[in-house]
Amino acid sequence: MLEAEVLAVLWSAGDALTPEEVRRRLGDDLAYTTITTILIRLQEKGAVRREPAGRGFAYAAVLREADLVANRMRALLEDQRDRDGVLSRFVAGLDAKTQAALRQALESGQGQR
Amino acid sequence: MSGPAFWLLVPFAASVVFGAWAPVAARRMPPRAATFLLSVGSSVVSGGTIVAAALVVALVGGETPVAAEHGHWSVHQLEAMQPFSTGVAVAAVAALILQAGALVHAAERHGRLLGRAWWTSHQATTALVVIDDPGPTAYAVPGWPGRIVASAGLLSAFDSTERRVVLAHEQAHLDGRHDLHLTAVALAAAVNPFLRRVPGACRLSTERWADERAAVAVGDRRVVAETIVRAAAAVPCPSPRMLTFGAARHHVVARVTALLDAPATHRPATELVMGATVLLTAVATALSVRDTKHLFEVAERALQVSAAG
Repeated sequence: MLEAEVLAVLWSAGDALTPEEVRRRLGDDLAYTTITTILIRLQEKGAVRREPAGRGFAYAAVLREADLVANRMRALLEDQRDRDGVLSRFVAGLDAKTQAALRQALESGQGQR
Repeated sequence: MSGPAFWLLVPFAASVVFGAWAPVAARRMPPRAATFLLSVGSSVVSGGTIVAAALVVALVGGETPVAAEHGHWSVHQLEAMQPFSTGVAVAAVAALILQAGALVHAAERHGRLLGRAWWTSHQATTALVVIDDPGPTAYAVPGWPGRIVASAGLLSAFDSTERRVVLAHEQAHLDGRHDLHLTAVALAAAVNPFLRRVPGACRLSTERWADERAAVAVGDRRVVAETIVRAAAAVPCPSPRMLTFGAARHHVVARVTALLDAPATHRPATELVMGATVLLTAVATALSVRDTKHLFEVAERALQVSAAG
């Protein structure tokens, strides 16, 4: 789970980040060494690249254009367009009316948490 | 109607009740309990209907000379005790053939889907696989371990809390082995048409389960609701003719509503009714197997007596 979060942070940054920057963006009380360990492992897997930054290193996400696995993952989703597939998708698209109704529900419930 | 005939009716009646209440359970019960109730319950109920049909076929088939010779029982005795008419027997044979065919077909299809997902996630090296897609796509690919897939578009458009919601939600699908629950209900529904609403219900309960886990991860259920609405708004709306997405759309509304409400508590009435149908099916199935065995034993003894005499 932490590996996924670190990768997500690097992807959203779009730029190379030092381990300390990654740690700050994760916002958890994580040890610096935990972050560096994950980053080094990700680099070994080829998912991030490392570049010198100051006295240490900065890490950036790598888009593997011809990534077979990513293409296969995408093909899986395209294959399972029916209701009883085994993939679980975060959301489906909504029509404008449903969207408006949901926004209203969110706003009317503003007070209670 | 008495004896086996009565016991055999229970699984069919149970599946009607179970199938009808499934959407209520998915919507109102605590989602983890609802998911287990739906997957385990529908498997038991649908297994019960297969056993029921198989027992009728066995009893009526036992009257044929070939079967009687192999089994060493008295055809006359079995005929005298026969609780089922020819009509019921024909229906049972038809039901058994249809059920077996549907089960094999669904198992083959789902086995392939699961196998492909497991194999693909096995090939991935990282917990998160990013696909180069501008839209906000995210899904869980089950496996050992499963992987989360997210689009580059989602990761750059969402803030850190929203990303956390999505990652925690998808991770919950993987940790909870929702693929196995969904496969179980799909097979149960393929065998038993009365359970056709159970797969949709189970999908909703697994989504709600993952939503609640995401809410724990970010410490706020409302933020999860907001993230769902935001992500749904960014996904292109499919054409209304694609009914399968109609259900998913429906689920987005149910999930947001559930998150804006207080956390779900146990629903004694729903749980009692659905639990009772499962329990009754299990008991009725056990009793009908015992009764059927008894009838064959009597018929065997009758043959031994007539042979001795």
